[in-house]
Amino acid sequence: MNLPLIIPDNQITLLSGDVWIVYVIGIIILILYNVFKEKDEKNQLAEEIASIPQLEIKVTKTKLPEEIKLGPMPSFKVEFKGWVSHPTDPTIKLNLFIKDVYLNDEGEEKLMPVSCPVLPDWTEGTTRFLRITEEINTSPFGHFKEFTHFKFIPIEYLSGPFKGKRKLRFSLIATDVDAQSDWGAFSKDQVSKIRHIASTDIDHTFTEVGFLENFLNREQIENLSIKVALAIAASDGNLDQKELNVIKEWANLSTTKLEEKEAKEKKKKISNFIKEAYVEAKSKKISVSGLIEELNDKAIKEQKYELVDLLLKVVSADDELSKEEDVMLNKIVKKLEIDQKTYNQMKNKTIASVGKIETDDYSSGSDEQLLGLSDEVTNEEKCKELRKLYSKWNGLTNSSNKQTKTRAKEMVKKIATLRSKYNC
Amino acid sequence: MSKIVGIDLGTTFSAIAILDDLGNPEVLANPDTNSKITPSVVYIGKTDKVLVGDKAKDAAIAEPNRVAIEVKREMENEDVVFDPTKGTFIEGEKNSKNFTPSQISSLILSKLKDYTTGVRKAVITVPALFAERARTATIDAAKLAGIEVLELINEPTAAILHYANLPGSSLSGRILVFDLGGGTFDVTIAKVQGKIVDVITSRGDKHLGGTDFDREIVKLLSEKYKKEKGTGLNEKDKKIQDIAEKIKRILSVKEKVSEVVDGPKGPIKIEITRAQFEKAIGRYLEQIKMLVEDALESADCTHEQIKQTLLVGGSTRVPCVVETIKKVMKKNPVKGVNVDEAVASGAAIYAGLLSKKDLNAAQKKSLDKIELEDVCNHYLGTLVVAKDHERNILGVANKIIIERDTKLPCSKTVEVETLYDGQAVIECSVTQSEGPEKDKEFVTILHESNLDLPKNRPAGQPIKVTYSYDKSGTIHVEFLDVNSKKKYEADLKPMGSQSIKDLKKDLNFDIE
Ligand SMILES: Nc1ncnc2c1ncn2[C@@H]1O[C@H](COP(=O)(O)OP(=O)(O)O)[C@@H](O)[C@H]1O
Repeated sequence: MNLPLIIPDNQITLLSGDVWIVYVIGIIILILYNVFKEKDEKNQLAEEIASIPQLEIKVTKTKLPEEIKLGPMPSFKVEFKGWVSHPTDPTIKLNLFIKDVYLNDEGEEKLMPVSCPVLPDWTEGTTRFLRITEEINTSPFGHFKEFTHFKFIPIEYLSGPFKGKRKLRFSLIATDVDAQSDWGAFSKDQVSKIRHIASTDIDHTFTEVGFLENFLNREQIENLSIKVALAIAASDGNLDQKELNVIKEWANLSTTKLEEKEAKEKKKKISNFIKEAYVEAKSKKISVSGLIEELNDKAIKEQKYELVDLLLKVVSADDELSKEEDVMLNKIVKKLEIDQKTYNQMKNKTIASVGKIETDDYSSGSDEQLLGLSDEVTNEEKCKELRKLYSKWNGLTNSSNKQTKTRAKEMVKKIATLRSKYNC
Repeated sequence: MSKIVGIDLGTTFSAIAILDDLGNPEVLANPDTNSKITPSVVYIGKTDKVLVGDKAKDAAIAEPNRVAIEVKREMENEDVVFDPTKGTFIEGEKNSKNFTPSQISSLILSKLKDYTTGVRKAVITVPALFAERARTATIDAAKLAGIEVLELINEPTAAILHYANLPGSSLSGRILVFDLGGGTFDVTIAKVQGKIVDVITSRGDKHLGGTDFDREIVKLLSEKYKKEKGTGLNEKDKKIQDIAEKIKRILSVKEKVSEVVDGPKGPIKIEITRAQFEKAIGRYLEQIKMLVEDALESADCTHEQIKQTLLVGGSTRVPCVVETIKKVMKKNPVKGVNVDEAVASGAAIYAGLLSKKDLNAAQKKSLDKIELEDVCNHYLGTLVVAKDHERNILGVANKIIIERDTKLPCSKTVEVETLYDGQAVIECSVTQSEGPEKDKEFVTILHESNLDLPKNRPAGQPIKVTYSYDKSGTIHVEFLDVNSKKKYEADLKPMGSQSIKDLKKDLNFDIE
C-alpha cells in the first residue's frame, strides 16, 4: 500500500544577478518573499496536520464483491482513515481484532476474542483468535485523508464465543512491525510498540453455538452423541456387541489427551454412562428427536459431523446397512441441519465399504433414501442427480478395491433401474 | 517386410486389419472360414491343443468347461485365472494348469496374427475407459503373442479415424460415435474437419454390452421354464447362453421367437417377445441414455449441435437401442457400412500414422492429411493434506492436476506447500480416477514414491507438481521443491508388467 505523504519543503532556491543593487534589492525582496512564503507554508502545514483525524475505523455489513471470486458471501467491510504515522520506521503494521463485548457476573464489561478457525493466516497462529495484519509504508507524517479499504471479512469465517445477538468490537491497532499479540491483546512489554488505536462497535447475531459455550458443554455433547448412537444401534431391534464397541472406542477418544490418572477416571465415567444409556436404548426409552434438539442448541458444526461419522460407523459395524438404520440416519441428518451434500459424500464411503446394503428393491422409496435423493426437487432435477450418481458409481466400477468395485456395480444397477421409473 | 497392423481385440469378436499398398485399411479374413470377424473364444484341450474362434465355439458344445469367453472383461483383474476344468475365470493363484487373462488373450492374438505374415508390430484397440491394469494386461498379451504394441488406441477414436478416412467421406462438424459391442459401451464426441479428427470427450461403461442382454434373456428363459416345470435353468450353461444370443439376434428383426430349451426337467418350447426383451434390458437402456447425456454435457453441446451419430458395434443392431439414441439425439443415427470392421480398420490407419518412415509413397500420400487429437480419459491427481472447510478438519484428499477431457499432449502444474516445520520428506503419489474424486478411497494409485527435503525449514515451502501427458499415454510427473531445487521425476507409461517368460512357458500350444 502506498501512502500519500506530506514532506515539508524547506529548501529555498536563491536567485543571482550582475548588478549589486539589483542584487541587494533582489535579496531583500527574496528574503521578504521567502519569509512570507515560509510562514505561509508552515501555517498551511500546521493547519493540515491539525485537520488530520486520529485513526478511525468504519465497519459495514455487505456482500463480498465479485472480484474476490468466493461468491457473494455476507461480510464485514472494514475501512480506516487518519494517522498511521511512525516517528522513525518506514513501515507500520495494522492489526485488526474482533472481540465479543459481554458483561461478567459483576456487571463489568469484558472482551472475548472472536476466532477464525478456517483461515490460519488470519489468526495469531498460537491461538485460533482472529488477528488480521498488514504492513504498510509510512513516515512521521503518514496518514489517510479519506476512508480507505482494509479488508472484507466473510462472516462465515468467524466463530464467536457466544451464540445469539452480540455486540462486536472491531479494533484496528497500528504497531511497530515486530509487535506480537497474544490471546487477542498486547502484553505489557509490547505496549510501547503501539502507535495508534481505533475501535468501533457493531451489533451482530451469531447463529452457531459459541466456542466458549461449546467448550463448557463438551462433555454433555459427548454424552448426547453416545445416546443418539445407542438409539440408532438399537433401531434394528438388536443392539450387538460390535456396535457397542464402536461407541466405546469413540467415547474413549476424548481421554487420549489426558494424564493417565484423569484418563482412567474419565474412562470409568464414560463406561458407567454407556451402561445406563444402554439399558435405556434397549428398552427404546431414548427420544432421539429430543436429543437432536439439544445438540442443535449446544453443538458446533464439527461436533455434528463427528456424530454423523460415529453413526455411520455404528450402522456399518455389523457389516450391513439396514433399511431402518438408513431411514433413521437420514432423519437425524436432516434434523441436525448439516449440509446434505457433505453427508452424502460421507455416506458414500460407508456404502462402498459395508458388506451388505438392505433396501427394498425399487419400491417404497428406500433406494431414494439410500441415494440421498431429496423428495423436494422436481423430477427433472432427480434425473440429473441420478445421472451424476451413475457417473460416480460407474467410475468406481474401475476401483482397485474389490469391495468397492462390487458395490459400485450394484449401485449402478440400482440407480439405472430407479431412473428408468422417472421417465427422464 | 513388417506389415502395418491394427487389431480390434473385442469382448465377443476380434478382427485384424492391415494397411494395403495404397494405404487403405483391409480387414483380413480367417483363411479357414473366410470370415472377417473371429469370435473371441478360446478352447484349451486336454492335450496341447488350442482352438480359437468359430472352432472353439463349436467345441464348447461338447466340452463347455474348456472354453474361455469374454476374457476382455477379466483383463482388469489381477488375481483371476481361467480354470479349464471349471469353464470360468475364478479368483486364485496362477499355476501351470490355469491361465491368466493375458495368456488367454494372447492366444486370440496369435490366431489373428497368423491370418497373414509379417505381423511384428501393431496398434491394438481398447475401450476408452479401460483401466490402467487392463491396458497393461493387453500389452502383456501382445508380447506373449510376439507382437510389439506400437500404441493402444481407444476403440471409438479408431472408428472415427476409419469413417473420416473413407473415400468421399462427408463427415464434418461434431460427430457422436456410439459404440455398443459385446461387453462394453463407449460414446465419443469428436470434431471432424475433413481428415482432421479432434476428440472432445469419451464416456463409457465397461459392464454394458450384448452379453448382458443375453444374460437377461437367459433369466427370462429360466423364469418361464420354472413356471412350467417347477425348477429354473442353469444360467451358466453355455448352450442356453447360445440359445439366448440367437433369440436376441432374431428379435432384432422379428417381434417374437420360439426356441426349444433343454433344462433339468426335459426340453420345452419357450416364446420370448420383443416387448419382454426390451423390458428386461430397460436399465441398460437407461445407462446408455445417461452416458450420452453426460457426453453431450461434457462436450458442452446440445443434441442439435451434433451433425451425425455414427453407430459402431454389433449390439447397435438391437432396435430399441436405436430407439433410445433417437430419443436422446432427436434424429436418426447413421448406420456405418461395416460396424464390425470399423475399429480394426481405424487401428490400422493409426498404425500407419505412427510408422510413417516405414510407409511407401502411396501409403504416405493416402495418410497425408489425417490428423488426430485425443483427450485424457481420466482425472490425474496427487494426494495432499487439505482442509475440509465444511467439516473444519484436516485430512488426506485427492488434488486433481489434469482434468478429464484435457487435450493431449498437455502439461499442468499446481503448487502445494510443506505442511509442518522441519518436514524432511514428501510423498509423491500419482492418482487416477474416472470422476473428480476428492476422497482417497475412491481413486486408484498409479505410482508412489518419496522426495527427501532439506531439514530444518519452516512449513509452507512451495512444491511444484507438474504432470505432462503425451499422446502415447505416457505421463511424466515431477515434484519440485522450489527452494532447494530438489526433485522427484518419473515416467509412467502403459507397459507390460509380468515377466513374460514365465507366462510363455505354459503356452506351447498348436493353435488352430
Ligand atoms: N443382429 C444382431 N442383433 C443383436 N445383437 C447382435 C446382432 N449381431 C451381433 N450382435 C451382438 O453384438 C455383439 C458383438 O458386437 P462387436 O461389436 O463385435 O463386439 P466386440 O467388439 O465388443 O466383441 C455380440 O453381443 C452380439 O450378440
